[in-house]
Order: sequence, then structure tokens, then C-alpha cells
Amino acid sequence: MQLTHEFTVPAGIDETWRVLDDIESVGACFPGAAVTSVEGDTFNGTVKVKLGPIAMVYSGTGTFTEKDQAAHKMVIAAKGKDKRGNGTAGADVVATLRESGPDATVVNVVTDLQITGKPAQFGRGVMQDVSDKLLGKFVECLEGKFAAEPEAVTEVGADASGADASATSPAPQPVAAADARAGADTQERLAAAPGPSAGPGTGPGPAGGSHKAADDEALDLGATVLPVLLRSYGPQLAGGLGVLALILWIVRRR
Amino acid sequence: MTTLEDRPDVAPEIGRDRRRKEDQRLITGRTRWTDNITLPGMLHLAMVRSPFAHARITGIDTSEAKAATNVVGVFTAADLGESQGVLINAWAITEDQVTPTHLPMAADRVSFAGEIVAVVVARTQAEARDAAELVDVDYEELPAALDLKKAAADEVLAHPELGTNKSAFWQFDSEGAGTGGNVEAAIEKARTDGVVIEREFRQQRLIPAFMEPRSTVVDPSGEQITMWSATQIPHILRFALAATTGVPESKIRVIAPDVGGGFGGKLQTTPEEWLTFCLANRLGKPVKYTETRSESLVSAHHGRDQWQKLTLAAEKDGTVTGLKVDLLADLGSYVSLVGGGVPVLGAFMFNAIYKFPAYQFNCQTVLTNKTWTDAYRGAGRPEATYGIERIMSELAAEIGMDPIELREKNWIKHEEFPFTTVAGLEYDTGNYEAATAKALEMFGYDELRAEQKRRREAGDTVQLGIGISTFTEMCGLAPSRVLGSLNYGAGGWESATVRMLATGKVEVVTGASAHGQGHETAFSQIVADRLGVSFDDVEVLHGDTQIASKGLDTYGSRSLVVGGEALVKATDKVIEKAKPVAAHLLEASVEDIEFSAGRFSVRGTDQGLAIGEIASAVFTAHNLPDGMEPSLDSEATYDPINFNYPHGTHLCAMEVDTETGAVKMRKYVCVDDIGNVINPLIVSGQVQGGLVQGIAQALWEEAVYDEAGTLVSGSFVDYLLPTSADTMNYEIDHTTTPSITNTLGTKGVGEAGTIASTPAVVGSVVDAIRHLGVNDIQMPCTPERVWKAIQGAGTGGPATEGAAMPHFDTDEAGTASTEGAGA
Repeated sequence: MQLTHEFTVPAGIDETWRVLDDIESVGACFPGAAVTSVEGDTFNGTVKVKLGPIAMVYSGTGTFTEKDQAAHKMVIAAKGKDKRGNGTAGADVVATLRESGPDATVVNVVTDLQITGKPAQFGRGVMQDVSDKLLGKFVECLEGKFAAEPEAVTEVGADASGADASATSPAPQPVAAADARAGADTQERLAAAPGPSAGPGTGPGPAGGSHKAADDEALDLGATVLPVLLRSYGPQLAGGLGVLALILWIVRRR
Repeated sequence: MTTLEDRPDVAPEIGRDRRRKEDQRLITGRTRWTDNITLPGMLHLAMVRSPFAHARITGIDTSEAKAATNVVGVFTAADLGESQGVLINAWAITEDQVTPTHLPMAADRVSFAGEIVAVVVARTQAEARDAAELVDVDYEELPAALDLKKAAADEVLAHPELGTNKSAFWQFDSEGAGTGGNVEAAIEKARTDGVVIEREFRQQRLIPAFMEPRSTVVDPSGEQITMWSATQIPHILRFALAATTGVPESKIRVIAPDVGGGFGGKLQTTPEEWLTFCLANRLGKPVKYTETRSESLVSAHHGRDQWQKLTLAAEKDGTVTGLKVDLLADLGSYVSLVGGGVPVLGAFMFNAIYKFPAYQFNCQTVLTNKTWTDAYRGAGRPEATYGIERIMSELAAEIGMDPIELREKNWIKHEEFPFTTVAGLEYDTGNYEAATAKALEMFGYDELRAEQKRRREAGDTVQLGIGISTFTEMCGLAPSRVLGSLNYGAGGWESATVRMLATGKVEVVTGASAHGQGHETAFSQIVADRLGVSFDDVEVLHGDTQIASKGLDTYGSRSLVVGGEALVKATDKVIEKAKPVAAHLLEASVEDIEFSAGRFSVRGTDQGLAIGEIASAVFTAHNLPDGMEPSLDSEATYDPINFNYPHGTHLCAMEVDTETGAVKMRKYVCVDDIGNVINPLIVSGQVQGGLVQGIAQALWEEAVYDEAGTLVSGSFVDYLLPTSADTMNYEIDHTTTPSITNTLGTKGVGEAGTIASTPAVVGSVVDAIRHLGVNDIQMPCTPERVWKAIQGAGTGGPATEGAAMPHFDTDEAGTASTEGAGA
């Protein structure tokens, strides 16, 4: 499935490029992600994601298959396998930078996501919402890296073929709702996170930071997905039993 | 049941709406399902399944799993070798059928997402499942054959070593068989001076979705190895185990306890059963495996999944002259127990109740990298009925004739029975006029047509459509000779034993293995009437190969029409055996003994003895005729002389919102002719349930795979199984023309509702918007598809892509399903 996101960072295009080019610190910004090693254009790492009841720890490799500073375009191909046999995840990411002022750069990220196994079997419908949420926090973290006041982040909920499209359209509402709920602790974490993960290449730093991020993950994703599930499935779940179960998942994680 | 008085000699039991004997233990949860069975020292299995549709297994690291708490062992195909046995295909439809070897556990290559690659044995189920996640399998992904049409073109091979995806091509040609003319000639003629209708219909993939997930327990500690399994086919399972594992059949006992539904989904011999059997023997300990619901949806067999190309030739006045059918059937990754045969069961049904002079049926079965398919309620006949009923309505629309009138013009008249069809079957009885007349009246056909016309002319945004299905089916599987001619691996007989106990109670042993149908009740009613004993004095035993040693189990609406007839023959033998005893005790000659209502009496006298008295006299054996064997117990094995042809007329009125595509069922009427009815309550349950299953195919259910071959409708959130909230009150009634091929005059009813309803429902949706240029909507008719069809996107676009159902848009099918049937 294809996911498209666009956001603006409060920095010049070259500085933005520099930051994005530093995969180790960028990786640390991605909730649940940790870059374990970097050799040239290839890097190894893990991504921890919880999709409803399914927890995955993908470990794998990524490569910058294209880096064109002149065109401000970078292409990353990543593939990972879940530790617990829940399947694999592959992503082809194309990031393009566009200047939108002296101190503002628009970053457009198109992700072609290939997911197999349990998350594909069960999580398909919530993937767009989850990815929007993840990116939202990624951007917040990224902004933290530019010692500037965070601007309003514009997210473009994206196209996706077939049903994904319809899955996307109502996304803004739940995401917003989720932000409201999750907002508080997100801020806390951001306050803490930049500390360790600020300096590029500080070995345990990013890992530490990302693990913290990972711990909050379940909670945030839950908050994202819950209202969506409530609204779509609620009517069908006789006596709201399923909903109860969902709430339990959330509670258990707190 | 205990609340009911027993006065068998008063009202006859047959035809009485007895509450089901079995329900007390079933609905109070008193019974023990397979998963409730717990044996001393029992171990539990968990399966490690492939997340890939097609991949080479490059390595399996079981060390971490083996080290986990309370794990007894972790096994791969390499560890088990030949001891795991192999899964059979009992119905090779052609001699040269291409059939991949089907091991319970994949050795070096997986061919669908969900295939087992390793199995964990632990002391508790939870520990087994946790450890299964620790098994590290490395795969090398291979391109997967997913789309049926592309697979048929061998673009990507599901099993590269086979060199093709085409498993078997099966043809029936009326000219070749001498049952009719040349279909090509008929079509050519119609092209010049008649009408030719060509349509391609899609039968989407469905999931049987029985209530009780499959579960198996194997206890190797006795002299016989005992297997409990939630199966429809304990006898066939026992045979297949013996045939493929080398264990003598006499050393295997299979028990199907109360089983929570099957719908064909448990007419299967499963990898899980084979692995449980293998590991219990290997470890010398009882072993249990119970699947999770998500495992069930991914790895239990699916149904339907066909493309149907139909070419119908007719004269300008609507008289049909020929029918040609080209089927493409998706077998999935393996040719399962009767998988290849399912579409062939439809071969004799496309001509349905109509007098086609020429007919040809071509079927190509195709292997793909998806869950394998097999029987699902109706098995081949719903597909056929859908095709023919849809295209007959298309013909009516084409020539501007009322679809009922068109059918009447072409169907077999009641005085023409017995009628040999162009497919070579002899329909024994039927009265399509009567069933249709009754249905039209109950439905208020003319009024609804008038309303439809009004709303058309008024340009109402909510349009009304009427769908029609005048179906028949072949059931009561099956005459063994016919099965032989179709190269099926077994016969179609059924067996029954009647035991007269000393206390006057009666034990009935049947080879039909019920899984929710209510055999215990219906069979008790039959025996109560035949022997003149009380309904409550009859005990029906089944589902254990050590008790019911002979049988061919339950599927294809066969239990009553085949198993019931065996039962009748066994009771007749009991009476014949009892007569000489009665004569001896009453000091009369056998010729003068009459039997009625449970009493043997001497003609022209008031002397007599009840059958119970005879039974105890035979038990004591103190005073029997010289040389008589002291037993009344009798057995009968019955091989049906013909199939059995229930029919009926189903009418559906549907309201379609042309602005949103939402459909709302307004009325559903069906009049089925299923011959004599043993228990109207059970029949009503079968019809109602069958209808819902058929309507669900039309409106909601679809197994959807994503581009990687993952089943994305892998939970009941995405696979839209209807609940009572999605249904409405279906008006069901009957006309009766008794079958003349069995003593009781009964016909099968288990599949009728499912077979008949789907075309009526889709037909009603199409009929509602035909004036907008729509002549087909691909099932399931979700509001999205209906809306797209109205917008001119033909059949509402291809099979659902990506997500099983659009999740978050409240106008979408996911939530609209509750409106679907209009409650």
C-alpha cells in the first residue's frame, strides 16, 4: 500500500538535507525505531510497532539507493523481519525537499509499504492512521532538532489504491482526537527525547531515546486507533464486547 | 424432550414439530466438544505458519523455542519424515489430473500464507503458542500465483515443479453423451435468427466459518489409537489415516463428538489432524490441537471462487435452444479431499429445471498460492444455480418478457416427470408450477411489479427490484455407480443398525455423522413410527467408528434421504424377524400375523403382543421357535438408486438507493418442494439458515487477498459474517411432491436455501437498476459496488482490493451490512 505524507520543517533546505542525511539521528526520531549500525549508505536497525493486539519488532536493513542533493531527493529501501515470525515489512521511501521560504522546507515522503503476516491480516485498515500518527511524532521530534519554535505541521493524508483511499478520508478526525488525548504525554516525551538523541552518532543515546519512544508507542497507537475502531466497528460488535476488549488492550498497556 | 408426553399410537411422529432432543445438552453447554476433552498427561500443539504465499524455506531455527518453558519438542517436516503421512485427494476428476504432493507440513517450500512449517509441543496451550513465536524461519520469497485468470494463463507458477497451474480439464457434452444436440450448432443458429446471451459471472471466494473451530485430540495409549476430531467425516477420516500412515484401520478409532457446525468446512482431512496423530504416536502421549479463529480463517478450506462464462442460445420467443458453460475454478494451493470434484457437481445442474436441447459444460481447475478450496454448503450447485438463474433473467430482459413467464415457457411441466435432462439425470418428481404459483401469491408479485413501474416512472431515487430463482438441486449423495463413473474414490451408500433392547428401548446406530442437523430427533421420529415405539424410547448413536463401524458421514443433503432409507430398511428387517416370534407365542401361523402401531396381532382376533414384549421374549430366549436366532437386531446398508431433486421458487424484493448504492431487502419469499417433511421445525431451521448463508454471499461475504497473498479478510471484523441483526423475517412455505426414490418420500433440505437464494438476491439488485444500464454487479453487492455500477463502472469494479472492506467510511459496506437485509 502507498502512503504519502508532506510536512514543513522550520529550517533551510540545506540544513534540512543535512539532518535527514544523518540516518542515525533521523532514525532515533522515528517512534520505536533504533539504528544499530551504519556502514556507508547501508544501515541496520529495529522498529518496534504495536498494531492493536499485535506487537512487532522488525529488525532489518536499509539502504540509501539514491541521494541527489542537487535535486534534493533521497530514496531509501528498507526490509525487515519480525522477531516473532509475524511476517516481514518492506518499505521503499522517496523523500523530496522543497524550499518554501528562507527558513522553511517542505518535505514530501512517499512510502510504498509491503507488509506480510499478522499485521497485514488484521492491521490493514488502521495502517494509514497509524502511519499518520507515527509521522506526526517523527516530525515533532525532527523539529526538536532545529533549535526553533515548532511551526504548525501540515500533514496531507494520502492517496492509496482502492479501499485504502476510503480508509484514509475520515482519518483526520480520529487523528485529531488522538492528538488531543495523547498530546500531553507526547509533549513530555519530546521534552525528554531530544536530550539523549540530539547529538548525531552518540552510540547508546538514540537507542535509549528510541526505546523510550517505543514504550509510549502502544499507548499512542491505541489512542489513535481506538476512536476509529469504535466508530467503524462499534455498531457491529454486539453488546460492544469487542470494544470492551479493545479498551482492555489499552488499559493493560498503561 | 422430557416434557413431552409419549403417545406414539396417537399422532404419528413423522411430520410433528418435535423440539430437538440434542438441544438440551447443546444449548445448556452441558455437552463436551473436542476442545473440552482433557486427558492425563496431555500435551498441546501450536503451529508455526508461513506468512508468505509462496516461498522457499531456507532455514528453520528451533533452538530458542525448544529452550522455552515446558516445551517438549519442536518438529519440522525434516524431523517427521514419512511418519507425518500425506493428505489425499479422493476425487481425481481426470486420469491425468495434475496434483501437487500435499504434506501436512511443508518440507522445503510453502505454497500459501498459513501453511504449516513447524509444530511446537508443550505442556500447555499457551506455552505452545508462545514458543511457536520463537521459531525462527528464513524464507526466500517466490512470486505467487494469486489471480485466478492470470494463474490459468500460467503467468506465475504456484508449484514450479509441476510446470503448469492447470490441474484438470473436465467436459460434459450432450452430443457426445447422447443426451442432447450440438451446442455450437445451436449457438450459431441463434446468432443468425435467434438470441444469444453471453455473460461472465464471478463466484467470489467464501469461508465456511463454522461456529466451532477445528479441534483434534489423539490418545495413543490404548490398543486402538483414538482420535477425537471436530469433523463431519469420522469414517472417511479413519480410512484416510489408515491409508496414508500405514497404521491398520482396525487400530484406529475416530470419534466425532458433538460438532459445532461444518457447512462442508469440516468435510476435510486436515494437516492438523495428521500432525496430531503423528506426534501423539511419536511421543506416546495424548496430544491436543485446537485452532484459533484466525488460524481457522486462513487455513481451513475455502469455498466457491470461480469465473463462469455462460453462453445461452434461444429463439426470439424465448425458447431456450442451448447452453454452454466455461468454468475456471480456483483450487487454491492443493487439490484437497474432494476439491477438484466440487465444480463437477455443478456440471449436471446448470441446465437446472429447463429443457435445453443442447448443453456443454467445460471446467478447468487451476492451482494458485491461496488457501485450498473444497466443499462449502451446496458445493458446485449454488454456483450452477447462480449462473443459470442470472442468465435466464438476462434473457428475459433481452427479449422484454416477464422472467417468470420465460421460465414457465422453458421448464419441465409437472406431467412430464420422470424427466431425463440434457445432463443425463432423471428427475423423479417435481411440480414447478405449483411452487411458483404459491410463491407468487405469497409475494404479491403483480403488486410489487406495479410499484416498481410507478417508482421507475416517478424517477424515485430509491428503486425497487425483484429477483427470481426457480432452482432445483441434486442431493442425497450419491448412487455409488454414478460416483464410480465420475472416478470418485468411494461409494455413496449409508448404513444403519436397529437394536431392540430387553427393556423395550430401541438403539439406532447410523453411519451419518450429524454436526448440528438434528439427526437424533428426526431419526427417532422415523423409528418411532416404523416400530410403533415412543419417540423418547429411541436412542440414536453416531459419530464413533467403534459404535457406528460403517458409514459415509454427513454432507450433500444425504443423511435423511440415504441414511434415513437405510434406517427404514433396518426397521423392516426387525419387524420381519419379530413376526415368527409373535406367531409362536400367539400360537398362530406367521401368515396371520399383522403388524401395526407397534403391535403384532393375529388377523381377525383381538390377540396380540407389543413389539416390546417380543423383544424381552427374544432376550430371555426361553420360548422361541425352534432354531431361531435369539435376536431381532438388524442392519441395513442402502445405496441410493438415484439422486434426489428438491426444487423451489425464491422471490426477493430489494430497495436500492441509487444515490448511495445502499441496498435494503424489502421482502423474501420461498416455497420449497422438499417432499415429505419429517420435522417441520428442523426443516424451517435448515431453510432459514441456508437462506442467510446464500444471502450473505450475495451481499456481504468475501475472502480477500492482498497483492502479497495475505488473507486480509482474516478476522470477523473484515469477513462480514451476518448476525441475526442483519437478517429479516423470511417467509417460507412448501409444496409437496414426494420423492419416489425413497420409502419416506423425502428430499434433501440442508443446502436448498443456500443454493437458491444467492441469484434471487443479486437478481433483485440488478433488476432495481437495470434501467440505468446495469446488467451485473459482482458479489458481494456492497453499496460501493452498486454505486460504482450505477456510475457506469460496469460490474462495480474488480474483486475488492487492499482491505477486505473499506473500514472507516460509514457509507461503505462494512457498516451498511446491517441495512443490507433490512431487519
